[in-house]
Amino acid sequence: MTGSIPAAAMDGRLHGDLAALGDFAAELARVESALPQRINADESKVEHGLAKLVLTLIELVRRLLEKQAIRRIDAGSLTDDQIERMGETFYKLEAKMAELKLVFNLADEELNLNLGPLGDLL
Amino acid sequence: MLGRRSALYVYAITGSRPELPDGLAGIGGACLQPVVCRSLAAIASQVDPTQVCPNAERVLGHEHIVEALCQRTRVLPVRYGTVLPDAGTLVRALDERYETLLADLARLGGKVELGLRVLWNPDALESDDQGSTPAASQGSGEPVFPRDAAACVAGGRGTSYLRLRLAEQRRRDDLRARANALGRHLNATLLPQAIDSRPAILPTDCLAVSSTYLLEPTRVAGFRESFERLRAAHPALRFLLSGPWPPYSFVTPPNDRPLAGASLRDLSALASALVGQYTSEEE
Amino acid sequence: MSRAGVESKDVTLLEILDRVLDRGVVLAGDLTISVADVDLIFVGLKVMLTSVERAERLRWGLAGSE
Repeated sequence: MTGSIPAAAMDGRLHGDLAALGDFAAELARVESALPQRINADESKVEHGLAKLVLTLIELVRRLLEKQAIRRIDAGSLTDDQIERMGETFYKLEAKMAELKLVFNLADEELNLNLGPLGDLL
Repeated sequence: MLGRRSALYVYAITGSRPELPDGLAGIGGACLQPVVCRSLAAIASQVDPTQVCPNAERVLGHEHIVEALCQRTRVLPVRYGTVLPDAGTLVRALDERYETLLADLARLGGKVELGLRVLWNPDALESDDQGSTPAASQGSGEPVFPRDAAACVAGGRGTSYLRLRLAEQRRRDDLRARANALGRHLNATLLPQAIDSRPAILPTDCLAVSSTYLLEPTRVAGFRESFERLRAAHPALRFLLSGPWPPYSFVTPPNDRPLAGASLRDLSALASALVGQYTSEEE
Repeated sequence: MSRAGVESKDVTLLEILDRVLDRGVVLAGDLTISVADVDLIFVGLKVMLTSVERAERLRWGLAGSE
């Protein structure tokens, strides 16, 4: 076998607030669970991959529209009645998404919209 | 020693006459061998392609080989899991991206990268405005809910839902602005000591900055000193500097990934561009 | 979540994974493994890092394709 990197070669690679390693590890695990998501070409997983893709795109559009609505509220260009009706729609949409995520067994992180070098979308 | 089926697993790209480390076997135990394409070589070993699904031991083995090669020659690190059916296919793959690989090898060979991660407590930022973070001065201490706080009371479920979203949005915008300012502040000190950087701002709420710096190996010690000074100047933040690593983060990404390998990031970027175009026309 | 037990080598491993699995030269190989398998390792890592008795689990093997 290859054998792993000798322990000595791993030492001394970290500098800084080593007392907070646990916090760094937790954040790294969070970033990384979002990063390497790619659509799986494996046949047995195609369905899951497709559900993930479709739900990600729906979630993307939902959040973009929601963002537009928020922007308009912020700009004061909507009446109270309009706000209430739009809000109700978005509220229901979000509930529907939560239901679908459950059905396809997808976690929020799996629909993460981190755009890498472009930064977060939302 | 070889598996039932055999293929070539690639660890790194080097010049055409690499010096290979003695006594170091590849993933699964086969010998390392160079596969030459003009003045480049891919360092590969025979593997059973069913035996490359990543686990900690294999990933560390990959890294070990790349680092051992880095000690002897100029190297471009290859991403884990690159398996080609035979030497002919590998040569064609090298040939396809030859100019890019050659330029990357000239630019990155012999260099190292350091990873900088900066944690903050996003909930403590508001009370932190006295100025220990440079971001605070830029954020101007504006409250998270600058107006309309009373309006939350009025309206029904839909209204309170959107008001909540609005408050969240403002909090995120504020957090991002502060993280951006912090990133610029850190870069002002660190980038002059580096050749290049790949910054990521606020990849998670607690991780304000996550940047990678490309360095000459001789500059690592000086970079660490600057890092320690920055760290001392910002007691409210927590800093971690990792490395030196092979320059994985600086290789030129492929410009035409097949769809099956496309990341959700790419698709999200595409969708957001399309939707963004649509919604901005509407306004 | 047990954060106190996290050691340098755990975070070093995370730093290596971050680089080796998601960065570096990409060669278009007919057989380049389905990269989604990479997800598995991160699921494994998250479990490992949040587990209480994670001491000897750095050498975990992944349940999966073998």
